[in-house]
Amino acid sequence: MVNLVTSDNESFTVEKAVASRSVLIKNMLEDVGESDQPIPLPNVTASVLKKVLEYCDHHKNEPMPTSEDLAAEDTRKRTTDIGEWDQKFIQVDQEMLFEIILAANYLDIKPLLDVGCKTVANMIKGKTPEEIRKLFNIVNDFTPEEEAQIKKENEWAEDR
Amino acid sequence: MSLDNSEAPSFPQLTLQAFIDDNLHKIYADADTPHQGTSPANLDKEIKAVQLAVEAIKECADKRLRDLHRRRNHLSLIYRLPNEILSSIFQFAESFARTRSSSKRLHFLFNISSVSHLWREVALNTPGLWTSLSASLPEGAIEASLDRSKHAALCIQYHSEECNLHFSDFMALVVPHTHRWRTCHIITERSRAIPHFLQTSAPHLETLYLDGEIGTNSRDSSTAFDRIFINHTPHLRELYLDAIFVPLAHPIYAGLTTLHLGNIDYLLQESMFRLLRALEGSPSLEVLELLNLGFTPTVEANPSSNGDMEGPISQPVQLLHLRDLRCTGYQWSERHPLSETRGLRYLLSHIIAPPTLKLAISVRGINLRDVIPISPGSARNLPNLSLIDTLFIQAPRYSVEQLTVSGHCSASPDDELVSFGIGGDHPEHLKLQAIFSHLGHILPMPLLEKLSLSRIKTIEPDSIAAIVAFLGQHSTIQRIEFIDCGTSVIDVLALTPSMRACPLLRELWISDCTIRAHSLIDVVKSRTNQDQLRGGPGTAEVVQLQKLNINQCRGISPLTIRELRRHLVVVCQGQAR
Repeated sequence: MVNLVTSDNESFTVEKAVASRSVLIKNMLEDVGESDQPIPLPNVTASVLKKVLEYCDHHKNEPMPTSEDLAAEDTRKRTTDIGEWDQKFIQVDQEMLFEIILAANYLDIKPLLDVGCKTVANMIKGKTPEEIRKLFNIVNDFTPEEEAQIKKENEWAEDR
Repeated sequence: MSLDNSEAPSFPQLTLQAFIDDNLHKIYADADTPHQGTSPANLDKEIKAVQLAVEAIKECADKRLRDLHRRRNHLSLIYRLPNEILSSIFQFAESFARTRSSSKRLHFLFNISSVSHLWREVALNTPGLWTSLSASLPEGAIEASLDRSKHAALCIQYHSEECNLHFSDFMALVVPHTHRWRTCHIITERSRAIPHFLQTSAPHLETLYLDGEIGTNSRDSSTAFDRIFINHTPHLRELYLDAIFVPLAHPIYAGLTTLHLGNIDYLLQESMFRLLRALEGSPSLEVLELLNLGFTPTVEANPSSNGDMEGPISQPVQLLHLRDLRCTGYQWSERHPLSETRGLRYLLSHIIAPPTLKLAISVRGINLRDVIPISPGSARNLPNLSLIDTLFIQAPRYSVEQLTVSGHCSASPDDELVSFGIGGDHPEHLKLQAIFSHLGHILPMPLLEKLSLSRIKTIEPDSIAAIVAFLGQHSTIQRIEFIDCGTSVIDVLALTPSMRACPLLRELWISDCTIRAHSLIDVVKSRTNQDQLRGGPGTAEVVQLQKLNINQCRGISPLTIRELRRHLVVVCQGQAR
């Protein structure tokens, strides 16, 4: 078992197979060897880690992506398809969604990072800039030069 | 100068007034003539000063607003994500947009670059988003994409029916970047113009799709494409040539995983040998598609020609990764009758494929002997054919369609192993007779368990004999399905017990058939009557028909079903019981 300590000082004791879905933790465990020492995770809160561990537990028996898989991955093979369980898992509010993405990035859990990125990608598909701004609470902060270029681009797009 | 306010000026107004006065002071300080009181010239200067002040203040206010907006955006939850993750999100979303038209894709890219300053920065600095260049886009968009794609590999697409630019104008934009091409799709009826633009090395090209017009450049006498890409496409894996002939000795054929050749006339006798040698150069080939190819009659392999690069190959070509072999639309050539189908037969008899191969052949002729190699070696070359355990034979719904035969292996993860389309203007009964006459000989199916016949309405006496013979050759059949078939087809089964055909037949499935009740009773009785089934000494095992499924068959009344149930289990669906 592995003991993980979150930024808000909460402890989680989990199976090594679950914790090792994180490449960061896996490498730490390999570096320190057999040890009862808790692993501090200063960038992850308890509520987010709980969610991340739920994902890791569900996928613990799946093969880890190999370096060849990662090397072979390029834009041509990207899809926004998400598995059924993952879709339900990632149905959270925006704040939690972004926290999960950040945690997956920090903990180096590529499949979870992809699920998060695909979810956001699915949210922006087919939306106008104004709809995207509204969705993510963003305001227009372009310079006049950028506005002029955007206007030109929109003319190109409307040409078709 | 005063602001003409009756009330005492507020602090901002005082600041503004001081600012304007300062500007005014500078203007008069620069002027040759001093301030001489109210005059049109002086008022104009004063107006200019106020305008300058307003513009400066507006600029200042805009900048301040922008800063405030940016600060506010940084409090947005999505701004917590690092730029590389935002870039990754854009690429996932773009992969979806890529499945749409080029203009929709472009719209998407412009949309995400029009959300905010940060989003634009990230989108414009993600080269992978800007790599698809289609002639259907405006020139400005192509130029912007070329610039934004930086050094990333490009996907080039020209389709003459969906283009905004002339072929030469489009190519003039993208040819200087040939070293970055990853995929190149060109569809144009002006195929003569293509080679001129393919005169430099394409070291990163992985997919090449050239579709021209059937004519001079689609014959193997053409030399137009002799030196495309100056023979340097080391990473090419997928090659589609339609009505474009590239000499078969060209290195472009080496190392491929997918090869599509379509609408090419191979007039030279040695072309078949060269094609086989080209295949030898791609031992990892996974998909081979041959569409409407014309071959001259090919001499049979002559061992004495061993080593001659223009002559027959000495050993079959091993394509041990071949998953799909599709041969479609073979034509009967007036010049060389049978040449195309025999060309295919020659090809099939000179390749060795793995058991997992899926073979799809669509021919206009009716004689499978002209297509499938019949030789002791063919079972070794195309081993999957002997794994077929389920065979579907489907007559066309309309006369223009083909009669289709497909063989499946239930143990195979990808079910269909072989399919044939039998077309041409031949009457249906002749096609059917040809299929049943040839199939068992050409394509032995020692494991066949299920036979399904669809839409076969009537059957001629010659065909009956062929079907009976076919059933006789496949004693392993356990289940036969008739779907939308006529009574005469089902009647064939009444003939077979005494001929000991299908001795293991256990189950019949009859669906949507127009069938005479007494015919069905006769068939069932013949297959369940112990006396008829009992063979003589030394004969193989014969089992009784055990189950009959009837689904929506007119002419079968509840009375008939009661009679049938005296002999075997009857399952009815959509049927009066």
